[in-house]
Amino acid sequence: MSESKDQSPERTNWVPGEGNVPRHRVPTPIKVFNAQTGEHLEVPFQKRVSTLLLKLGMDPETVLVIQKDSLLLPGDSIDPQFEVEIRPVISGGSEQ
Amino acid sequence: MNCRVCKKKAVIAIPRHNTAFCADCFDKYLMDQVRKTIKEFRMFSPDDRILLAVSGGKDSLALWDILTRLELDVLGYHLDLGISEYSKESTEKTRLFAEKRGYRLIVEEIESETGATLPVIAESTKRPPCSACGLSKRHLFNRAARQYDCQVLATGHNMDDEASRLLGNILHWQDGYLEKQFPALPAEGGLIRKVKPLNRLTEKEMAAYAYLNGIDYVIRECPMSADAKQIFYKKILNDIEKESPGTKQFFYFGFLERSQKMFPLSKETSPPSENCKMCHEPCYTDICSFCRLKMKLSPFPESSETEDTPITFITPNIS
Repeated sequence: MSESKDQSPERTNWVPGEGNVPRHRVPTPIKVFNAQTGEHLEVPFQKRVSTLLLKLGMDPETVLVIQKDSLLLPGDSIDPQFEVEIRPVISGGSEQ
Repeated sequence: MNCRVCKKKAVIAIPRHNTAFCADCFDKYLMDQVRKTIKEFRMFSPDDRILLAVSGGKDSLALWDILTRLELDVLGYHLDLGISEYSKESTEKTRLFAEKRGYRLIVEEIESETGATLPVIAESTKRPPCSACGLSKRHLFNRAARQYDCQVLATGHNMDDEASRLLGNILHWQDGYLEKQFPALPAEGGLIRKVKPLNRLTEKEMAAYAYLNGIDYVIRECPMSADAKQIFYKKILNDIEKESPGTKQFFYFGFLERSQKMFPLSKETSPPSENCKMCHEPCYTDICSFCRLKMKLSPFPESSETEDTPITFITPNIS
């Protein structure tokens, strides 16, 4: 597979150097949008939704995680090419 | 993870039932849960007209969609609280939702009822905003239901709302509130029957339903409820739930099973026997809480005179 077609988030970015040896890896960060606060964040690459939420300090049962118009589960993989929307679901206040 | 029923890719996991569903099977599960609740608590009669309190959030808009799918006669009622941009967005989203689907909606403003927006009411009366909001809603929802010939008032409270409210009531031993924490309260003394058809479903399930059905709801939190105790209690329950899935449901439904034995209705919670001397809505004393709240907003806050209050003249004791 040619490098241009390799969309794997963990692909190694080859830095020209002696003997074509990889010198460092640049994992793709993930763009995250918090729909409740309106904040856009960049988070170091996380392979799965569960680790992304852990990194953000969020409980999976208190948010929807949306990517490419689909709901993701904690065990699902994240495609770093697309923004991830985090939609908190907790609301509170008056009792009628 | 795959759907427990059809093995397609799952879109939601439900840890307390140790299951997961695809979009179609989740829809069926959710509708079954609502039907079960309606049946178990005998929430509606065939000819009932339902006044649905709609805030513009996920729960109430989703409930409107669900009750309409169940072919019930629903009238939406939205109260604009006057909380700056938040209320504008809530009213706008509610209106758009109703217009798109051809649903009937009534919109009223708290400011035209009291002369003040909710932030002003909270500030002027020194009440917590959620308390002033709840008091106003209880009064205006009941009045609207009577006014529009509705036999039942439905709200979108979900299981998280009910479990967190229960936790708060138990922590403070609010016996009077515990007696009345039930998903269906009968009509009595001028108060309309109240029902909560979403009490088997969690906040996350309702958000997922709204998302999967293209419901455009207000996502951001009410700016006045940031410090609300209820959110704190929800966090505590979610922490417990994470360690022990199913505890929240067990806690809440365990209470419902025992509530009538543990907290029977007392004389103090008997239905209102009077009508407010100012607004003529049902109340427990001469003047209802809503009118007293309005009086505190008036330029003469301590005044409690009504048309029926006799005037007592103070005359010098001439002997």
